Amino acid sequence: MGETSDNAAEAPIEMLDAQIRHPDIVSSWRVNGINWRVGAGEFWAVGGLHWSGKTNLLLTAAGINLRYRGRLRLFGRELADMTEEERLRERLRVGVVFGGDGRLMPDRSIAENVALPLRYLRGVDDEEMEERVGFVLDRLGLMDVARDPAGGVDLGRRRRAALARAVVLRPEAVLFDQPLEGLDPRQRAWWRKLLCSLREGHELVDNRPVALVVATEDLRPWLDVADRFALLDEGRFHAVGDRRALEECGLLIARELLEHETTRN
Amino acid sequence: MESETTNVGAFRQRDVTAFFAPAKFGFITRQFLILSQAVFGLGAFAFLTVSVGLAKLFRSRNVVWPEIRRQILVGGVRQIPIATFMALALGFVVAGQLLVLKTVTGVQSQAYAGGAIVTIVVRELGFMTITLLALARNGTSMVIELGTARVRGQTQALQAAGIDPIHFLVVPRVIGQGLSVFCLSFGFNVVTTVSAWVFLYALGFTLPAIEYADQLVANLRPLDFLFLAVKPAMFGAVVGCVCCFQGLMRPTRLEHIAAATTTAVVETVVICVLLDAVFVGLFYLV
Repeated sequence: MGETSDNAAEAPIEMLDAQIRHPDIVSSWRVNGINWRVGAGEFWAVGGLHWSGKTNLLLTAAGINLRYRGRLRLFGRELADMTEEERLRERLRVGVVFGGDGRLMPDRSIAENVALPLRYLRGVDDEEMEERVGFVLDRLGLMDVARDPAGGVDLGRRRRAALARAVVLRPEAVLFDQPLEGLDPRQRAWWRKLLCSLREGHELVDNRPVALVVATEDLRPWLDVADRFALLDEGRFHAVGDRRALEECGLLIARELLEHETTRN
Repeated sequence: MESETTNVGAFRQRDVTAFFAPAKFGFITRQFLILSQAVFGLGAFAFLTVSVGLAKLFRSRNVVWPEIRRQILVGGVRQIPIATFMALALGFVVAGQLLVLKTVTGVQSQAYAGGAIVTIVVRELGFMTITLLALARNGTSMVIELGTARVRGQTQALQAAGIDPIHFLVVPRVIGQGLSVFCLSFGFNVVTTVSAWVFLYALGFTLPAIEYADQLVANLRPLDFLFLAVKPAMFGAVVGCVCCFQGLMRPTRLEHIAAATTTAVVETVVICVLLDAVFVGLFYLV
């Protein structure tokens, strides 16, 4: 373990000849041909239409959905070769921010939701926990709703709370599932700005650069922000490359996600 | 290589049901296969819960133990008023039936009051009533709560944050229900026993407290004390386990939750009655 933890240059996520299934539907393969390497400090935007397997891809890349075939490495280590404890340890170096309402526990306060992983995994004392949670909530503008139940706050703050829950453990890579969906322009700008600073090193993650992956149905907001692009189309994964490669790749799905106007029937 | 997950959802086998659904299999065969599948799924889930509970008994105590306390508060402490009311009512019913027996047959039924209380209430009705109460008030809400959490992806989010849903959501509920039903059953039996005697007096029976106590002691066997501890705890754990299984493993869409709730109620009642029959057999044999 120590060997991999020290080796910060290892790619946080690497998938080779991988296929993934839906975690609940075992009848068919959902995405095929995944050859993907997310390097340390890289910012990937993965575009795909609705129900194309974006969330599954993120869950598999984070080592949560284990219904996959092929090779999956987290920080240079093969997931299949790890014991459950080792897998958990490597998994926690990758944070996941879910879309929609952020999948928080609605009957618990925002602060409790954010503190839960710390309390469960690290068993930190109340003082240290309050300090860390308070710091994260403050930096994400959530102090005024810290004591409110998660189910009672607006969508934008719930999603920020989901981000807070993911970064409270100081991950080295963070995966976002449609972070801008349903947000107003001001909040969208806030998210883009924050993600840029996370990549470069934000105080939330001890000023270390973090590898980022954003799954989205609209690539336009990410064109100036992300430095690598991938596409999910009809069960195939295409790691396209940089912005220029995306614009010149000739794939219909790329045009659709860039113009956000489908040409298919 | 394909890794099969051991986390939430691993025990659902709808594909097997779909395969066996065609009419080439007779109705009874299909029902048997569906039943076997349900038994296997529930058994595996119970085994997983016990394994996780034992393996992680002292892990994350600052999170899991408060959850157990919360379950005891919700499933036990808050049920005390309704359980007390039902115990008083049951005491009245037993006293009333003894009055009917005396009026109709002329038998001095107060001589059998202690025996009736031990046989009917302490051995059977007491914990069965509390189990049904726990099922109706906590079990059903548990299925809905966990089913909604699963459908909305909250359990997956817990896994993403490194939190084991079985350890965090299921183990506290099973332990909490077991302890709650055990404590409530004990109190229920005490209140029913006392209230039956009070109502007997109120209905005109002359049964001194010492004589009533002698009747109770004479009818209790050593095995009763063991069963008084084991049965309610086990039945409470069954309520917790079945309801968590149905809530956490079955629904994949919101509309599945209603059916899962009904199934949880039926399964729990059937399992408790079957377990009770086993206990009766043991009681008879020992």
